[in-house]
Amino acid sequence: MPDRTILRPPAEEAYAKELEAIKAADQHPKPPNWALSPWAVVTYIMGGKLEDGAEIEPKYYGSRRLIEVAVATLATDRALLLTGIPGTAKTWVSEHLAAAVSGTSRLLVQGTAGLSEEALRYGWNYARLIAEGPSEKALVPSPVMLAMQEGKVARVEELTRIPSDVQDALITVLSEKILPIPELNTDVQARQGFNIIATANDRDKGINELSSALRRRFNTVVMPLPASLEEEVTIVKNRVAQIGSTLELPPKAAPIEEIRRLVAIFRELRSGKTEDGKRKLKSPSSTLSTAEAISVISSGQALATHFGDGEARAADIAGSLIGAVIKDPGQDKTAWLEYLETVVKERDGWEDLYEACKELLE
Amino acid sequence: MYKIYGIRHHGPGSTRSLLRALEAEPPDCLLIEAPADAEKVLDYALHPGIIPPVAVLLYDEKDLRKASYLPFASFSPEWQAIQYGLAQGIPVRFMDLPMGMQFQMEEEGEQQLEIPLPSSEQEGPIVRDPMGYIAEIAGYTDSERWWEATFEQPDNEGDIFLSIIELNTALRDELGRQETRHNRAREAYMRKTLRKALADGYKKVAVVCGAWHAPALHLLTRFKPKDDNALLKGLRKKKVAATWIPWSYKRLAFQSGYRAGVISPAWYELLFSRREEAVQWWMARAAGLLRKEGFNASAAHATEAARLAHTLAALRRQPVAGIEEMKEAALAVICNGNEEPLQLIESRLITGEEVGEAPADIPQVPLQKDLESRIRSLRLTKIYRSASPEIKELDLRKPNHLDTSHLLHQLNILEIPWGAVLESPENRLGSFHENWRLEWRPEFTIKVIEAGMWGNTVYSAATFYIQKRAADTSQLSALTGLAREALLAGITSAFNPLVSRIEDAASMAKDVFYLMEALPVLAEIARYGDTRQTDVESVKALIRHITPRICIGLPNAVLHIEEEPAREWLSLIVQNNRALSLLSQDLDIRQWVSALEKVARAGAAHPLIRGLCARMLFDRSVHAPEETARLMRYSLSAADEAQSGALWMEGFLSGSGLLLLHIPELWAILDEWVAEMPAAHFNEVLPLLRRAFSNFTPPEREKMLRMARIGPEENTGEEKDESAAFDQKRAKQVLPTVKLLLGLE
Repeated sequence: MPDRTILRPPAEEAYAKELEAIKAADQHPKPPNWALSPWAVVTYIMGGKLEDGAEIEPKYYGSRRLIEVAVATLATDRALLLTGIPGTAKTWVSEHLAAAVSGTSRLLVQGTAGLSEEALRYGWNYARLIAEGPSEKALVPSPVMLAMQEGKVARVEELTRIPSDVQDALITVLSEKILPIPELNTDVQARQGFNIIATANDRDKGINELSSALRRRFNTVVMPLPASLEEEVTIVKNRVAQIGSTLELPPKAAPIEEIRRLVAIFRELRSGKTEDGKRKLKSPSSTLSTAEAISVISSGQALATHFGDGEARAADIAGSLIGAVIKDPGQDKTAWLEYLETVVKERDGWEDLYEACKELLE
Repeated sequence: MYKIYGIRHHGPGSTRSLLRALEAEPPDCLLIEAPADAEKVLDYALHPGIIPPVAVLLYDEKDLRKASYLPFASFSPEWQAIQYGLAQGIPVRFMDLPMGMQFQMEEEGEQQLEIPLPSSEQEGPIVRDPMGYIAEIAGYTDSERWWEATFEQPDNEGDIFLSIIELNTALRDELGRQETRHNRAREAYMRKTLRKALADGYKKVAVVCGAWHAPALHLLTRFKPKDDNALLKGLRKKKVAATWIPWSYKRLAFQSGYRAGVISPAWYELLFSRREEAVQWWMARAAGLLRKEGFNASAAHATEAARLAHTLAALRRQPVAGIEEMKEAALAVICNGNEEPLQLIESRLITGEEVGEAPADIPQVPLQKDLESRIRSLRLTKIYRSASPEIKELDLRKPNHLDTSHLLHQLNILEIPWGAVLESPENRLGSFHENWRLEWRPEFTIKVIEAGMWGNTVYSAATFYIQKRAADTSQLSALTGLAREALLAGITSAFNPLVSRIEDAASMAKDVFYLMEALPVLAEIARYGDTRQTDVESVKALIRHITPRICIGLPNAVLHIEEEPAREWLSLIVQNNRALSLLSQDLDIRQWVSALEKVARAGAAHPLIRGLCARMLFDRSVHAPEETARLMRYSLSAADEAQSGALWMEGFLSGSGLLLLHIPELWAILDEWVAEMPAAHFNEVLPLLRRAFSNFTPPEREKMLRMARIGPEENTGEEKDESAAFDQKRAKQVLPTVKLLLGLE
């Protein structure tokens, strides 16, 4: 039984029931040390109905082919690199892939500019090191090293934020499947089932491009933005409902109309043209990804729950909507005002949103 | 006994199964679905000089526009069946309705088709490729993969071809489609051929035909010979010539001609020749092509991509990876998820660049014969056969060279770009010299044969084609371009009809812009046409009609326009001015001068153009220096914006700045203007002035710089010094020639 007070349980716990059901139904051959077969992993991610009638919730709404490429990559023991602009479910997919393939998504290295090589290889328990000298007991393994020993999937988040020289520590691990420990004159050899899923962001500033030696060890899958308005609305709706339940917000779901309107605004600003393609718009510098749409809606929901009548309306959403759009106070504000005056104002039934936004900007 | 082998046209899977079946049950007679009148060139299929992809070209000798292609790739079932049959020494017969009859049917208006083929569009995808249709129903995008999955599994013991007959019988019954008359006649003829083969006493007849037709032949007893004969009754046979021509994968890839097209000939070839390791070959080729484009793609990449493709196929429960899997794998492994590199090599990788070969000693189309005989008589054979580009210099005063030039231009008209002229197109008509870069590429052969539909000789085809192109357009500039091409190609018979088309188009043209676009070309033709022995009197007449209209229209056309169009007008006016100067003997140019005058004084005309016209009037000595100075002072006066003054200067100085050096008054005005300009304005106009002056030659600029530094007065003194510094000896050498030119001796 998962601990209810945990804010966000990891995927393998949150979806433990589904994983079990799929495991039971899985007849396909499994690669060594995999919890599920590749087919079952794809089913777990894309959702569907099992033979015994159990319903699997889709975790990713998008191209099935993309997920198939990702899973097949892991099955060929090549490392997987998920790239794309922020908010395209890279981390989300990597977590679920790891949970489905090796039953744990917690062997995680969070990439930052200050990451040191120890975090990818191993560190030392210095008290022990000084007291006993170098020994295996004094060794503190990194998640990557643990994954190698146990034959599981390790995740490296934001790979491109890690300094280049540290990134390259992964090369031997990925090509030789071995992690030398020169201090002890030994090494860790990866067991079958070991692999790495990395995510990287190709839009941000201050990223460190992968060296071509490292890049060659990865198969790259580019995560796209949702293809259609419908698809994106579905994603936002489902995720908001899930988040709402962990935050113990009342079950009254955010009105679908509100979600649709917000997603339409995001898509239009992102693409720089109206959905009917008739008018050109200024694009703000903000990413305006689906993930941000989700957070705008859920914060609107929280606002409505605690300060309003419980149903998220234009006024509850306007605040965080403006926050999401205007990242650069100068140029983004102009873009938003123009959009407000030329598009929002003229749309039927959007008067409430227009009023709410106007009020906040003045 | 007979056996029907229903195949997918160009399907490598079909080919493999077919060959296996033929090996297992060797026939004593082979019937193939191909027009019976193509049979006469069948024996050439074993010719060592023939390398697929090739096609049988069938055409009506009297009417070359009626032509049909029957392409074969090395992996086509029909091709392999022919090779098998001929190698075994058994009779091989073509059994489809003769193309002669199909042409006839088409002529009778049975089918409203432009290209007289048993037309893919009309039959729809189902008849053309029923197996593809079934594959689609089964959820496959690639019908070859469906074939693999359905028929090529090791545990598949059943008779593939029997199931194909059953499948198509069911499909035909189910659809209950009324076959077209054309299709019924074809199937009747095929049955007739089959009956004849059986009557001839063959015991094991093998019939290779499209899967759709398999039931109609298999159930032979269901059809009465009498009915079949009735279907064929009244079909007369036109005389049809046949020959082999080289084909290419590119042409095979789009749906052209007799049979269904293939999406990826290169991939099909791999599937046929190296089925077991097709994916590895494909990836190796992809990596090689990407390397050539400068991407980082190693053999290791290719290996990994092949592995991923296999795994993907397995994940999707496919027996072999298809194009989709391979593309996705190449994208993820080699291209780092980036689509562009893959798109860059797509046509080479997916379609393939192979071009077949047909030996020279087999019958050719008349146009090809004519071309080759002209090549021989012009002694170009060596260049024609050369694989690398060659440069050829032509002196058009030599008849042989003139003919070569005509031939190359005629080919260019027919869109067979064997040669490209190296000089800039400017002044081309005026020169006696032409430099050509010649490179014959194999695919031109197809173009020659295609061009065969326009005529039997290069000359007549080019004439016909240029007239057709002229008929398709009423754009003045396009028509004048064609007239120029006709002149270059020496197509005199097309020239006069073209001129009258231009005359019509010109009288319809409302916009003086188009007339002005046409005039320089026409002037060039009129001026230099006689070096090419062409009658240009009609062109001169045409110019006499057009010029007054230009002169009337121009002053109004350049009023109130923006800078960008003004620049277009600028170059047009310059060209027209030059053109009219060329023709000054035949033409009264006073009208043109008065048009320039109007523009120069029209306040609303763009300053750039006003400046230009002022300059032209000065050059033509219409305006005295004083008048020009007056105009200049007026245009640069402070009441106007500084910017428009600068634009005026730019127009005025376009071409050369010499007159600033020679007429001190003008220099003084400019000097004054710049000196009196407020600092803010100066910064604004500086870029414009820079542009105006940047076109001058370095010595000119140097002199101006000196004048700006010391003032014009001293400069005139210096000029005198310079004149004194003439090399008298060298100057005298010119005198005899000058005298000769002036007729003084």
